[in-house]
Amino acid sequence: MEFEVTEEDARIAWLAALAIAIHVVEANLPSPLPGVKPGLANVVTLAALHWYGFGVAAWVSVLRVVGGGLLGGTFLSPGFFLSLSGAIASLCMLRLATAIPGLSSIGYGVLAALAHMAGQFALAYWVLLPHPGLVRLLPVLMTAALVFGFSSGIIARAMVGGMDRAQA
Amino acid sequence: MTAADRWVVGAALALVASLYVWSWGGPLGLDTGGSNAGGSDAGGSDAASVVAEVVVAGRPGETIDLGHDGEVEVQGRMGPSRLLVQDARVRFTASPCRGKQCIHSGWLAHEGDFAACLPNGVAVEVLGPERGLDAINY
Repeated sequence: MEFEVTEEDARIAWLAALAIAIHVVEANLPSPLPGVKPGLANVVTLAALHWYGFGVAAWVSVLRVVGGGLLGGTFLSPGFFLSLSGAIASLCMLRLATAIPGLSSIGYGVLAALAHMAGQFALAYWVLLPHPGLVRLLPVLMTAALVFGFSSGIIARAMVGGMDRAQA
Repeated sequence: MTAADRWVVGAALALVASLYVWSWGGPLGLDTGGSNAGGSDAGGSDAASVVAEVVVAGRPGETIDLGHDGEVEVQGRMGPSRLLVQDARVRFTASPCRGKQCIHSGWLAHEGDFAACLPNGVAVEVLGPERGLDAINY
């Protein structure tokens, strides 16, 4: 059986590999609060969105979650499903956000991060830990999401701008 | 940062600020204890049939019906602990202990919710027909 490897496949593969590498390195950094991470791998997703559109970004995002889960030994664990629910929610949000004209990576980054955190919280609250006290944590988590979404958006914009300039 | 970005960030800030107000209960402060403000309960409980069991220092427990509001005073090892029943929930309101962790435990509403004043030897648990999951651990 022969598979045909298109240029887009190769593109997705190297972007996903980059995202997985960043994800794995970041997973080893300590985090102040469970579930709060700078989410630097999302920079790759945002860059992919800018350069190649939503389809490639979606592939990169899902491959990053699965590949990162396999490499980290957390595949199919509750943490993995939290990651996956966050990724799916943020991809849905990005798909909707592409309808908003004039957004740069910063806007996409903020929206994606907020959706990511909301998706994770929904899974955590309704399935994993249905305790009313968790609701009080939501604003804190969303604040972190806003800050880190903004920062990864800025990084993505700088990266995309730098690379576009270098190639011009 | 484009104009659209600014709108998005502004809306996000407004949303996050409103989340603080909504889940921490009001513009000026926190509700006392772990109240259910903003949280939905994980399982239906019929107010009329929910009871709480109070066990004091190992003596056989007595049950309090949470359907009727009121105050209950329980004699423990150190002195009296006061429990308040309101809206099918119960909590410690006074206790002769030093740390007052029992009071800080807040409202007990769901089946399985539990608070205790260990120095005084008073334990309160909400009973019900079926025990829901309180957390999934991994």
